[in-house]
Amino acid sequence: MELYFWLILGAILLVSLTILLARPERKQKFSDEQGSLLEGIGSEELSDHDRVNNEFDESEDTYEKEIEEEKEPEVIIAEAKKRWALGFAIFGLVFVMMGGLVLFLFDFAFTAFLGSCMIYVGIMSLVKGISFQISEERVIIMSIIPIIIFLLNFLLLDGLLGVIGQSAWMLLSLERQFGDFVLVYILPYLMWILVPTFSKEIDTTEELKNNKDLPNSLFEGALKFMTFTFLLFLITDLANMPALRQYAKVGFNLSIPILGLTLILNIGATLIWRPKTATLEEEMITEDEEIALGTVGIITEKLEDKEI
Amino acid sequence: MSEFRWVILFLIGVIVLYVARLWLRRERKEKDFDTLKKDAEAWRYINNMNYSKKFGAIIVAIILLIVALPKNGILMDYRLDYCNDQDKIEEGFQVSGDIDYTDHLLSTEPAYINHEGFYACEIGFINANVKIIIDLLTDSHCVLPNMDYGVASWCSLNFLILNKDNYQNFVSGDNYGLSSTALIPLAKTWDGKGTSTAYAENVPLLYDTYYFVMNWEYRTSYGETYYDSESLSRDYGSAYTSINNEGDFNFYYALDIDYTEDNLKGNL
Repeated sequence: MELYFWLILGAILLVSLTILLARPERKQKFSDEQGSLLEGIGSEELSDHDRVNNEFDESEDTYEKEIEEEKEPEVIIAEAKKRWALGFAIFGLVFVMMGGLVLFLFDFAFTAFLGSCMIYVGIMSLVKGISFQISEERVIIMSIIPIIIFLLNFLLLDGLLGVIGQSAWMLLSLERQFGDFVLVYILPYLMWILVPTFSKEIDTTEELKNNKDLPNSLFEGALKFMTFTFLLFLITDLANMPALRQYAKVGFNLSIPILGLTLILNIGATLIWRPKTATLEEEMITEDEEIALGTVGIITEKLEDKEI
Repeated sequence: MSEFRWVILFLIGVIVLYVARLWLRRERKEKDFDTLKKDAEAWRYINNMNYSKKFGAIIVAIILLIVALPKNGILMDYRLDYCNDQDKIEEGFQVSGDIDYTDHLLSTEPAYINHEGFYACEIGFINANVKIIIDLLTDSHCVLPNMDYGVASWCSLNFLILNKDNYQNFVSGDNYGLSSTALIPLAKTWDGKGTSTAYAENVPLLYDTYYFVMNWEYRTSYGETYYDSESLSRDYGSAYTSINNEGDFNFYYALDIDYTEDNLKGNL
């Protein structure tokens, strides 16, 4: 039980940090409120010097605001990313160090586990922090990072904490099997998915796409999961890594019915749901498609002119 | 007809429907082509591109399912079921006191096996000293299905626990053996009548994946066939236990594996 307690605690800490860093800055909010409160308070005893100073301050403020407004969204996103990366890196390093100290100073089973948990949370936080600084254009690295997180999570849970791979799968109770599956597959996925959104435009379009075709996205996810688990299963089977192989097999076995179900769901949605929304979809022409239509229109006009 | 064939038929039906729908849509588009503006056709072209991508993914998924779904297909060695655990079976009964273990065994699904074939299930990853009890039971007498061999009519079923390498050797017809001498008490011959039990204490099963195998004259330990069969090639139809309740013989089994006191918490 203590295992799940500490792991959940770590996860809560990660989420808390996410929320803490994601909220709007308090300073700005406060200064705005102060400004509105002070509005209308005047004094006739101000000297000319004060007025000049005030004017100068105001002009300074407006200049700063202008600079802020002039900042391109890319720069703002980059700054936000830096803040996130720094936050996670510091948090991770502090946790690793504290965990190391706990392990070094105390010699109880409980503290050994606590220290290991802290190191685990710290390392995962550090990796997440690093992932913020990787640009989205680097597709290969971006696609490798979740795999690294998965493997690192497994190695730490197995090697450092010793909470998984402790028993043959057939001997585990159903609850324990579920718990192990969550720890190996769901936990790293949550760690990867709980990444703040930096580009609102991209996210909203992606969100729209997902909402528009939820069965398809589920199906694609299931397909990716099956491919990943099968490849992992093959590799671990060939490379003689029985601990990881056991969990890869579980994932692969589970991925087969999931893929079957999502496939049926996807095909069903395409056959039944799509024809009704087809007319609606045709009305929803995105910006890119408008550009495409425009270029096609120009080309056809030119062709017609040539024909004439 | 087996459940698997129904699934395949259903999938084929769905694909046929989907293709028909795509074809009808295309025909409709061709009919309306002259009436539609050329600009609108560009949008449809983009839409079709998405459709073809989606269609490709569906085809890939169906192929993967056809390959991976059957338990006695190409991926049969990767799709082995986990063995029956005696402790879990007992939990299902929730009755204290002495209970005849045959009741427990009879509550499990029977394992079907073909002559010159084998039954295998996966125990999983173990890296510990363990105590193992194997319980076997059958409610039918085993009889050799084909008497043309001119040998004795009694059955000779060998059950044993193998690690991954030995299991692979056994399956592929190479020399195989036990990974530890402590496993010898668990390797026994059963005539396929009544019950049989094997017990071994303090067995070091070290860092490997382990399997429980019931070998009904599939291969000798030298990897040879028992009756000079034509070839050593893998017969997917009979080499592995039939999952369609069509085997020559059926039996019930359970494994009781407990970690010994030196590693009570599990693997080393």
